[in-house]
Amino acid sequence: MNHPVLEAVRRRVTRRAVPLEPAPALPLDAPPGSEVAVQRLWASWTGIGVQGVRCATEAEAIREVVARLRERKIRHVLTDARTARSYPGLIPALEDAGLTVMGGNLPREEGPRYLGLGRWAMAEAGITDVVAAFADTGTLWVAGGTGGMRCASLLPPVHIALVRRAQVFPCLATWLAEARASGALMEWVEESSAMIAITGPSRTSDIEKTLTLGVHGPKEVIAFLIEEAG
Amino acid sequence: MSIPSPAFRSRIREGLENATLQEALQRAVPSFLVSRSKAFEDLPDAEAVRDRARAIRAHTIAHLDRYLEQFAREVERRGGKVFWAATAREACDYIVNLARSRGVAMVAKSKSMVSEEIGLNHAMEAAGIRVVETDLGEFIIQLAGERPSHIITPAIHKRREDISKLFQKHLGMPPTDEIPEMTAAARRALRQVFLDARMGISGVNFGIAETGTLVLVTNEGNGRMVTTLPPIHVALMGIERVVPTWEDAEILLRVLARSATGQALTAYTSFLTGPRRREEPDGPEELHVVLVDNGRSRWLGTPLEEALYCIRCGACLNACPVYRAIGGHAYGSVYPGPIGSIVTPMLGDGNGAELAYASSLCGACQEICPVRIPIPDLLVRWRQMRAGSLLPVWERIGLQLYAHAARHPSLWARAGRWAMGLLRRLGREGWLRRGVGPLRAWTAVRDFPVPQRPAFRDWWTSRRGGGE
Repeated sequence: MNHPVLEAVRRRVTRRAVPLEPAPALPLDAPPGSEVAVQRLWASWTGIGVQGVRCATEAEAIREVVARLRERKIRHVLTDARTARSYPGLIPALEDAGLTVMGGNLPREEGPRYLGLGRWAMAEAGITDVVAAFADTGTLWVAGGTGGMRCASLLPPVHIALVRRAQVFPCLATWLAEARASGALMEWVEESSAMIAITGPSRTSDIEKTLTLGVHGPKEVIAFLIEEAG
Repeated sequence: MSIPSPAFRSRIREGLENATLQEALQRAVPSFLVSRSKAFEDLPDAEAVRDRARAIRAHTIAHLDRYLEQFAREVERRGGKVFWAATAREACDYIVNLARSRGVAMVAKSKSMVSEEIGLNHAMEAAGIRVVETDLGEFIIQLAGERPSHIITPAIHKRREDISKLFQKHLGMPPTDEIPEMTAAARRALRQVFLDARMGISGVNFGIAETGTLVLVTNEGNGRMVTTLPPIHVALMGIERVVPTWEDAEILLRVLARSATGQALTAYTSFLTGPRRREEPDGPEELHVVLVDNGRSRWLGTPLEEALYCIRCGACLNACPVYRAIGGHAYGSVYPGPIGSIVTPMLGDGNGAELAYASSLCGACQEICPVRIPIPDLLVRWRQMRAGSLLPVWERIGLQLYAHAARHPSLWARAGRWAMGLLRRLGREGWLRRGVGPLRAWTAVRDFPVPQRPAFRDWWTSRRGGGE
């Protein structure tokens, strides 16, 4: 690869050896899915303003999701094919509750794409599954990829995330180590144009350093922690 | 030319005399420092994380060619387009031409310091393309027709009353002093911009070389909007922002948000790799990564190279007593504060070396820097380089004489006695209040005590019973 900028860099770099400092301790060292990790996740969610709901089973979680949507008088929900695959009972339950479920793929042609986005923007809540959750920061790790919609956790004012206990990692570093070793990291990179670490509701302190939620993204993030394995 | 220049002095005076700015700085900056400190207390092995972060930056900059080439190759392998911009002009031309060729009338932009550095908004608007800043702080600044005064909080100098008036005028918002209402007004106005824009422009916090992944750190969600909703995403990235691996990015993320806003992680940390895939429901159809040099490569392999380690957290601004006194606009640069004073003259046409004098060299910036950049040393280096070219003849001769005397103890002792005698004659009531010649500038703002008798040297000699 050649370009004057790259050539200029090549001429000037020192290529000196830099001693690599020892790896620092992990932000949290606990087995994935362990009670320590779960307790810390719960505390982190409280700290960053995520509303946590613990459920024993997938069915209970879906019932609770519907209840939360009804409480907020929500009528339009945005979700994606991957979440529907991970939680097969979700869309039927939403439809049974009289909610309009939006999803599918955004058209690639400009006009239809614009119209599709406009429709999605009417959704009052978005529901997604997660790749993982990180206990040390309370982060929800979501992804694009096959059937994975970026807009569902972004456009609506309420984001509902479904997290299984086994998906609770102590921190991003631990997830990376495991995903690197298993090859999952490179699979995600190939398949998905976006992986997003969501750590609480959209926020700003740009006016007088006063915290305000929901400036562009969701104002409310509700995370359901499901004990049952998928 | 004097140091600092009259224009710089004037900006400093404006900053000091601006009561609104002073109030805003006093209100906002201390809370930054408190939250940053708390965030690092909660991070296990924090000092080791900083050491590791520094080593990652040092290693990357020492092998920048290798990682840049890898990064560019991986971006293109996954469907992105890479444009190498040697200058600000080349970067702007590329983006303007791209927008024209795609018929783009409006661009939604998230915060990007590089875009400010290269004057992108001006270039786009000169070409008839509307650019809307979507970060709340940047949006306020754009409506006010001003420049950001802080890397992380661009409108830090604005009070809620000023912002309310701006939003009433430009957004038709009813009068209010409630910040949530102002934020809601901005959300409504900008939501339509996100949906309508055919191009989104973002900055890049880190570019991961091994996969060509862009890492963007935001809180509001506008960064996600501009990189997701418009069909074209243009990412502007300084060439120094590359890191080798995901694990390296993770280490840097441990210190970035903590240093910038006192959060463990910001609300959104996006890892973006290429445009929308065939099986993905959404995302941009095109991704263009503009790698901007604009003078950066000139400094590789020089003592100022360490300034390229900077991860733009803005912590050194908050720690700096000079920044806290004069605010960001006084620097007259896109990059204010201690690190800005080093970086500004490294970029573009190289103007701004006088900013190196906007520091007391107290070292608070180095202390707080998450990657331990020796900012005071680099500021002194700039002063040396500038002084070498700007010192008047008499001062250069004076310094040479001083250096000669300092190397010869007997000459030093004689010169000292002579100088003390002169100062005693010039002083009144124990103080020297008006200097002569070059001393005048020094005594214009402070008094100098007349040397006491006996001189230390004489006292020491008599105490030891004679002999030096």
